[in-house]
Amino acid sequence: MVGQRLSRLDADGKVTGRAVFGADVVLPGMLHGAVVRSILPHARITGIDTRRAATLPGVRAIITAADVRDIRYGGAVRDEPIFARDRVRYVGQPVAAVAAVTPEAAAEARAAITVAYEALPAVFDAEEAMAPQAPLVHEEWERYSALPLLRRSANICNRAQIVAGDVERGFEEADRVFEHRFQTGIVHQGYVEPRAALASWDGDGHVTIWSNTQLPFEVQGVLSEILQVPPSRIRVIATAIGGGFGGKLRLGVEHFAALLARRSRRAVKIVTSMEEELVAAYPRQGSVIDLKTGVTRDGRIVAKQGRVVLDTGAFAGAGPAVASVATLVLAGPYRIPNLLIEGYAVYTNKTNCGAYRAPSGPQANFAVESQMDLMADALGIDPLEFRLRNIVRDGDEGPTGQVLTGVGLEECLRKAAAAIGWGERRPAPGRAKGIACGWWTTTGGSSGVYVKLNPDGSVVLSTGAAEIGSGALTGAAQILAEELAVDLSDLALLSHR
Amino acid sequence: MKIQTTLTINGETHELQIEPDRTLLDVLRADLGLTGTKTSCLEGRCGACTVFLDGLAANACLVLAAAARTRRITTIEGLARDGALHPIQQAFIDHGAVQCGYCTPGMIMSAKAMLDEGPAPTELEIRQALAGNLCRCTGYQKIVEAVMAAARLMAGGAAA
Repeated sequence: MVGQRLSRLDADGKVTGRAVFGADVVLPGMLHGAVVRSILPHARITGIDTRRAATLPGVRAIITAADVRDIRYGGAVRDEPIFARDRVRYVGQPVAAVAAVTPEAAAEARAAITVAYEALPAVFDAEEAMAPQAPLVHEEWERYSALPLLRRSANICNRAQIVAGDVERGFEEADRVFEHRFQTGIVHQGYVEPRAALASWDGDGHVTIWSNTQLPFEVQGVLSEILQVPPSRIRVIATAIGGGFGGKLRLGVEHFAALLARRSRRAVKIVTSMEEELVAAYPRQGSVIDLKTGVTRDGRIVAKQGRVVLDTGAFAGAGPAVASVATLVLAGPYRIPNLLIEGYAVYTNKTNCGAYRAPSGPQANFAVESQMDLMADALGIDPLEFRLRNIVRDGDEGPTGQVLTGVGLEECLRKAAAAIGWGERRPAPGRAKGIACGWWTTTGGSSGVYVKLNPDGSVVLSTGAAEIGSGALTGAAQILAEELAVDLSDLALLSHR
Repeated sequence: MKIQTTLTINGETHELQIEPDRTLLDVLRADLGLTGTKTSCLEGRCGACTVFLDGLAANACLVLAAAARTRRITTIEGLARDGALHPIQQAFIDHGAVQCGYCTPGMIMSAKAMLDEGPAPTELEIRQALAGNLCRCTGYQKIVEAVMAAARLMAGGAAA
C-alpha cells in the first residue's frame, strides 16, 4: 500500500462537484455576514454610527469593538485587536461586522455603517519605518506581550541575527568584494477559493465552525481567546480547501462569523470577496535585501554581510519568525567562515503579512542566487563550478552551528546540470539556462491522529492535517491501511472535527 | 421584487421565484444547492464557475439567472451519467490533474466544451481552450495531459 501510486481519495468528489469547500456549506436559516473595513491606512476613529444600518430590512446583528473583548491576539507578538477600537493601522482593518438575511442585505448594511476618522501620519516603506523619526505604527508596542527571544524596538517587531567568525577580517582576506541590493514586493498567494467560515452555536454554549483553514487547531485556539470559550466547546470542521499556500494558516473570518452568530442566535456564514482578499489577507512580505560578499580570486567565499528588511505590515503576523528564517536562507547553503546576517521584521501601515510557500525563501534565495551569478560572471567562473567550490557538504557546520548530515547538494547540482545539458550551454534564441541552489528550514514537532475501529470492521482516520491539494490525507490513509492491513475502501478519512 | 422563472438544469426543470438581478451562479449555488459550480472572482476572470448554456461554455457569474430561462443549462453535476464518470472526469483522476480541486469543475466543463466542438485537439488548442480557467496548484501540465488522454479515448469510442 505504501509506495504505490494511487488515485487520490479526494479526487472523485472534486471531479464531480460533490466535494464540499468553505463557501459550499449551508445551514437552515443561516444569516450572511459582512465586514466593515478601514478605508484609511492610519487614523484615529472618532465615531462609528451603526444606527441607520440597524434599521435596514433584514439586518439581524451589528458588532464593533464595543461588543467584544479588548484583547490583543497574534503569533510571536500579540498586537492584533478583534476590531479596531480607537485607531486603524491599514486599509482593510476590520472595524465592524454585520449579519443579515441575505448577502445583499448584509452588503447594504455594511455600506450604511459610517466611521468617522481623523487621519494620522502613515509610513509605507519599511526602511523609512526603521528611522528614529518615523511615525509609530504601534505607540504602545512596549506593552504588547511577545516571545521573549524577540528583539523589538519601535517599528521593528523583531531583529534576528547570525554571527560567525569576523566579517570585517573576512573582507580584508577577500580579493573582490561585491555589494548588491535586491527588492521584492508584497505578493498574495493567489488561491482561487476565497476564505469562508460558517458558525453555529447550540443551546449549551458549544460552537461549530466550518472553515477552509489549513490549521483547524490554530483556529480553535485563537477562537477560544476571542470568544472566551474553552477549546473543548469549539469544534472546527475543516472543509476542502481551494488552495492555501500559507494564506489560510491564520484566523480569517471565523471569529466574525462566530461573534455574529452568538449575537444573532442564528448560524452565520461569511465569504470574503476577492477585493477583501487583496487588501486584508496574509500575503508574503515585501523585502529589501542588501548583500556584501567577499570572494578570493579562485572563487572561495570568505565573508558575507547581509541584511533583509521585511515589510510585515500593520501587525507582526508571521513577520518575526519569517525574519529569523530569512537570516538562514540569506547565509545560503555555502561554507562561509565569516558571517554577519541580520533580518528585520518591520511594521508599516500596510496590510498584515503572513506565510507563503517557504516563508522568506523566495525573497532571500532570489537575492543570494542572483548575486552568486553576478559574482561568477565577474570572476569569469562557470556558475555551476562557482557553487560547487562553496557548497556545504556532509559533516560541515551550518551558519548557526548545526552539524549537517545527509547533505546531497553536490549530487543534486551535478544531476540537475546533466539533466539540462549544462555542458553544452548554447541556449536557443529567446531562451536561457540557469542553475541555482538553496535551502530552507523545517521545524520538528509532534503530531498525532485518532484512529477509530468500527464494529463493522471499517476504520476512521481523524486528523488535524488539512488536504490543501498535496495529497497528504491520501498518504496518511495509505500508511494506516498498510499498518492495519485493511483495504483503503474500508477506511474513512476525516479532517479535524 | 421577485419574478417567476423556470430554469432547465441538467435535464430537470426548476420553478423559482428570484430577484431579476441575481446571477446564475448565485441561484445555482444558493437556491438549488448545486455547489459544484465554484465561486471565486465574480467577474469572469477565473473560470471556476464555468457551465454550459445550450452546450456552450459560459461564466455563470456573468449571466443573470432570469436571462438563462430559455437555455439548456448544464453544470458539473450533470456530466456523469448513471453513476459513470465522463471520460474527462476519469482522465483528471487517472492523470493526477486534481490537486486542491477548486478549479477542477470549471476546467472539466471548458475541456468538454472544446472536445464537443472538435475531437482531436493539439496541445496548443487545449491550452487556448483552457486559457480562461485559472489553476494555482498544478502548473497545468497534468491537466493538459488529462484532456489529451480523454480526447483520444472519446475519439476511439466514437469510431467504435
